[in-house]
Amino acid sequence: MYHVPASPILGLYLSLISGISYGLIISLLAGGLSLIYGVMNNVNTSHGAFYMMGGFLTFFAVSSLHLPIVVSVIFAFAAAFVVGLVFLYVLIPKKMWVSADPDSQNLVMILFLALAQVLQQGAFIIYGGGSVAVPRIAFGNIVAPGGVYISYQTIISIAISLLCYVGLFLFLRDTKIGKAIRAFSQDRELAEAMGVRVSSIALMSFGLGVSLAALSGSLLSSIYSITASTGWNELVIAFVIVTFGGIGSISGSFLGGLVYGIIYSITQFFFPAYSFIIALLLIYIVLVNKPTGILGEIIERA
Amino acid sequence: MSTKSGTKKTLAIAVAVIVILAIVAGAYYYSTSTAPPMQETSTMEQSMVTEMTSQVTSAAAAGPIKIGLITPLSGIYAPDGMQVQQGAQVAADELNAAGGIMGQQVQILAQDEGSTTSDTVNAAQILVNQQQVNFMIGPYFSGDVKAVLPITTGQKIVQILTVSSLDSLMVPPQNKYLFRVTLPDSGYAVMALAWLSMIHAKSFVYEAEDYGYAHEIGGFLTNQSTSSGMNMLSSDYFPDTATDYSSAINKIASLKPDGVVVVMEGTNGIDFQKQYGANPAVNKIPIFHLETLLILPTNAQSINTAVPGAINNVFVGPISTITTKTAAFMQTFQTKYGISASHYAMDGYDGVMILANAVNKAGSTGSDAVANALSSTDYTGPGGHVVFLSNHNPTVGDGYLTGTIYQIVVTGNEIHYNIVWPSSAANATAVNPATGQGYS
Repeated sequence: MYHVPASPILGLYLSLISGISYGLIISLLAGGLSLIYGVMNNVNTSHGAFYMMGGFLTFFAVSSLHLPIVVSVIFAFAAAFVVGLVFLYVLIPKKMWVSADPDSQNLVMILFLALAQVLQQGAFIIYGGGSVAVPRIAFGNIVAPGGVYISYQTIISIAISLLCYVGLFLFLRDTKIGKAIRAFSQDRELAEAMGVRVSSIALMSFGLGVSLAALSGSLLSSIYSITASTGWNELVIAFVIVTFGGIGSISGSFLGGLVYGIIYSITQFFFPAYSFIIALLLIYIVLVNKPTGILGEIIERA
Repeated sequence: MSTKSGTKKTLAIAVAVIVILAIVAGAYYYSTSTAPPMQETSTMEQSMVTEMTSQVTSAAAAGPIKIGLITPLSGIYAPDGMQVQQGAQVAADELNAAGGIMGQQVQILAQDEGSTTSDTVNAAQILVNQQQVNFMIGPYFSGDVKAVLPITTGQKIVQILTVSSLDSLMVPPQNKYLFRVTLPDSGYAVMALAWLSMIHAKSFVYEAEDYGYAHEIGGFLTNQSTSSGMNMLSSDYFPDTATDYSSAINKIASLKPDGVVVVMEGTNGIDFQKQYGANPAVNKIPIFHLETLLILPTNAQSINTAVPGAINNVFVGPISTITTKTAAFMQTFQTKYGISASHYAMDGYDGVMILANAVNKAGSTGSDAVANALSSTDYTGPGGHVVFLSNHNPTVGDGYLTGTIYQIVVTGNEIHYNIVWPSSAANATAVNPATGQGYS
């Protein structure tokens, strides 16, 4: 029997706080996926695996390298960047890194899926099926109005997520390579004619995208559990957010993550069994009216 | 260009030939390994064949008793699934060392339950139709049990469930050859109510994963809690895609129950406890995780590392029942496999032993005779004392199957599991997380 709590208003308020926290953190994962797709035209189906890898890299840094947790998080970010570049270089033929050809895109999607399976099995073989022990950056909580406890880890994760978005925004706007990425995603042929190298852009975008996924996993590994099978749910959630926010739109992923987090938390409070379905349904309703997503736009690609 | 396409064509033909040869070789090997000897034409050869055939027939007559086993051997449930297989193998080894069953060796034939029900059905078809097993243990998941029942009941295969807990499976006519040796969902509810009584709870909330067995447990709890004078404030079911429970935990804080009962058998239980233990608004409310991964020290440690103290005084309830045979089995298992035995191993062992006893009692491997013999089982093994009810569920209660309730105590970096229920096995008294004192 389900009993409604004494105050639905209180329930809404509590869910809003939880939802904003959750949404801001999970949007980091989506931002990376959006960056990769926006630049490379390829769907990174191994994105969830990199999220998982972020957690394991952090655990490895803490337990085997005995690094402090903050350094371990940075290690996970940097290591995922390097690993991502290596895998892209080794697994995907260069001519497919950036391609509008549907056959090529399908093949890349399958190759990334295979990569995800390999990463998962690798983690399973090395660490088994259990959850890994990753400490928090900070312990303790603050109390929001209404008696809602928010952990310092959550606040730090939100802060890092916001910093990353600001950093990404400034990177894309003000740096030479950031401008090249933007130019490339808007008009590839013109950008190439202006001297922008496809391979450099693809490598940078992919490396950055998967390292954001790993960073997300690293930060969340002490709030949620990370096991070898983690990542597939997160991949679906990232897809939902990216589609909702606008494919290729970084700010859309940010907003999409926030909206998804809020909807999810509210529905979890009142209808937990249907929380994911209701969130998807509401997003579907938006997409029916605006198929490109909240901040997406139709870009004609050659 | 033409050289390239010519090379590609040659390669493609070579691959195709290799694949076809492999298929043909496999089919030939399979057919010759199961087919009877070919008929010869000469008299001498005919008598040799007759002799050979009679030897084959005798060997077949004295051939092993094949027990099929369907359990997860891959994926996240593989560690537990393999324990079922290992436990069953320990039993088979013991039986074979003592001469087998009715002079016949026991052979465990395991198939991977896989990640989908169609994998399980495929596994059942292999065991029943191709490998022609005499009996079956498993499958692991209740949904998969439902899916294979048409195969096993159709072939009259006596089936022992060592993990699946769904009570609704044990109804006629499908339970004619179906027996369960592990705690059913009604038993889970009994454990939860025993815990709630122990902590003197008047109200509680039920948080569970959105699976059939968890709904069944919730249903039993709803019915039985009212008659026990307890108030279930809410029951919530979460999809297994859920990782963030902050909203749900805020709801618990607003409801202020005396206790929280959780049924989340996978990593979702770890997620839940990590977030629950980190929230000061709720973490002093006693919490009980039924059949949880938190029984593994590594998982409990992962929570303690992330949030020190978040696992302290948490109650966990694996469905294993401690008997006088448990310790010895655990020692044997540890020696053989180098890992601790869980209740999956113990129930796997008990399943095979109960079957063996029934076959011996029946004097044959005939399904009706064995099923009849099983009905009068009175067996004590490392997993509990099993006596079947009329619906072929095991008897639940003191002296039979009860499950065990532990309380996790964290001392420094060490995780300890104190047994607090049932009283016959308890080595400690339960501690109230809010006060740090025992319950009066």
